[in-house]
Amino acid sequence: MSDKGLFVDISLTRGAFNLRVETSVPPQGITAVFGPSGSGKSSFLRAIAGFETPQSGQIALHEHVLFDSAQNIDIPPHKRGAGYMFQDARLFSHLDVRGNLEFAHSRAPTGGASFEHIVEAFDIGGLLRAQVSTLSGGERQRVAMARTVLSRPSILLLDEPLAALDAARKSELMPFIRRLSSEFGMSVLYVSHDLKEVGTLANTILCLKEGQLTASGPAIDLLPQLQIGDAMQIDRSTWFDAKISHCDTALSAATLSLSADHKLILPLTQAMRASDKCRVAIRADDVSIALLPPHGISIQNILDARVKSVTQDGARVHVKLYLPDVDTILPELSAFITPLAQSKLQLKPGQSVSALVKSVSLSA
Amino acid sequence: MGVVALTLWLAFCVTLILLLIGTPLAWWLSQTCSRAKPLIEALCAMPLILPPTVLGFYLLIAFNPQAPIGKFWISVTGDTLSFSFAGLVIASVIYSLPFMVQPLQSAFETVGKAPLEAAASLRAGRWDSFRSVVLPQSRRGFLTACVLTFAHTIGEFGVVLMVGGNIPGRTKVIAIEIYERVETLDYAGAHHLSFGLLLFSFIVLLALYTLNRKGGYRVG
Repeated sequence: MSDKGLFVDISLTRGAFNLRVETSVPPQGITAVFGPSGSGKSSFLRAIAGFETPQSGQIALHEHVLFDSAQNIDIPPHKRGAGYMFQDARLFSHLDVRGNLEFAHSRAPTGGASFEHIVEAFDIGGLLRAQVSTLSGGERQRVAMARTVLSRPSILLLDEPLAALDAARKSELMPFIRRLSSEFGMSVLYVSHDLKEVGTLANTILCLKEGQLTASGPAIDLLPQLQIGDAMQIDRSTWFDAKISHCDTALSAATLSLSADHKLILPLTQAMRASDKCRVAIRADDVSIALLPPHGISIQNILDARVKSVTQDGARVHVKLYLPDVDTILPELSAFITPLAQSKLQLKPGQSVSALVKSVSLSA
Repeated sequence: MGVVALTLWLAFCVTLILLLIGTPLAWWLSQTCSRAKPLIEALCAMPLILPPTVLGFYLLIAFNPQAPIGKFWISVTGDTLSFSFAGLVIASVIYSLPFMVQPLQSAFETVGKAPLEAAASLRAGRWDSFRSVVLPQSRRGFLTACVLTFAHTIGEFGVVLMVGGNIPGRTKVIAIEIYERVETLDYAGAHHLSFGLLLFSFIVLLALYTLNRKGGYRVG
């Protein structure tokens, strides 16, 4: 029988709130559970872990039934094999970092990555003897992540693990989360209300609103729809996946190859490594257009592109570009220009231009 | 057995028994959503406000060889409960119960559900979680509970007087000895014992507060 990953069909009522979800989660990759606060994301995750008991329904993980109200099955949390990472890390205060890690390691089934390998992967080798109260927010989450991985769960449930951190710490931690799936091959369910996090991490997205599943599907397909949702910032970002081809630590730059002729250079972050796959976001506001390739300019990312369409978008002009030989990776690239710029440049579909990308945000 | 040794032995037995009874009781109270919880809590706190003579009076009646409990005890052990060391232990266990249960319950409630959920998600079962997370995180609560129970048992007077009588070597404890010395106008002897108890109580409490402060940075 083929592995169906996680299957959930539950109805859970708490007071006036009703969560009613039927979905399945692929056995590999990162699935984001996205929605505003109060949409039932955490209850959904807690029901899978066994911390909340649904009124009715079924939960099955890798063909094992975890919960079935009709058959009176309710496997206790510690036997479900679901690793849970909390927003507040929940490290044990009476143990040091090593003690916390060994708590998980000693109770885990054998096999999989070694203790040392996991410690190294989360870059916490230097913290092993530290008391947990002395750790910074980012360190706490890394230790908590390593601890969860050390218990060798069959699914990882991450409940807004970045929500308590500032933007800099967030982008520092995202590569580690991506590694949970890419390096340790785990099925990850990631709860977040932050579209940027979801956009950079998720392969699949489940959207929850008021306890109902409103949309689900591959992230690349769903992200453009989510961006124009009313609560979201309308920045028309272009999202795509690419591989890091080269890391230059001296110049602190990472290179992404889009094709033989096209590459993008990004600021190198600590956790980035060559051949890591990553998701890239380019905001339409960060893309400028020049009719001829400019010289002597601080912008490093200049791509040969063609105009696909030009439309008025509110007070701005939305120009869609495409890169002729990299359309499999990057089908189109959005740019915002002012109506004045458009009146001077007179951009038309099919025209060759240079796209100047001022900044590229990514998570390795 | 001398008065002091008997008193210490009584306090030790009571603390040990209460540790065994009080821990599961306090754990249940800290976890339950049962409607019986306030009822049990009220019953456990009764010895705090009840005059010891009232409690002692009812225990005396219950320990009576004609009463069911007293009769049962005689049939099992061949000895009476009233005016015996065993009766003294049972009475003290009831009287000191809140001093064990309340600090433990509050320690367990402070630990809360969060570390238990974390432990469960790391494959630790209920008993495993209790042993390896709850117990070490409530060390201060256990220390406080044991010290208070021990010290409170040493200092009790009314209940002991009611159910234990005053039998040297069997049921005569320090507090009663002091009372007796005063009755017989042996003030020097009363001073001797009273000052001993005073010093003991102070040292115990000082040690407790010092230890709790030291433990603070790790446990808190």
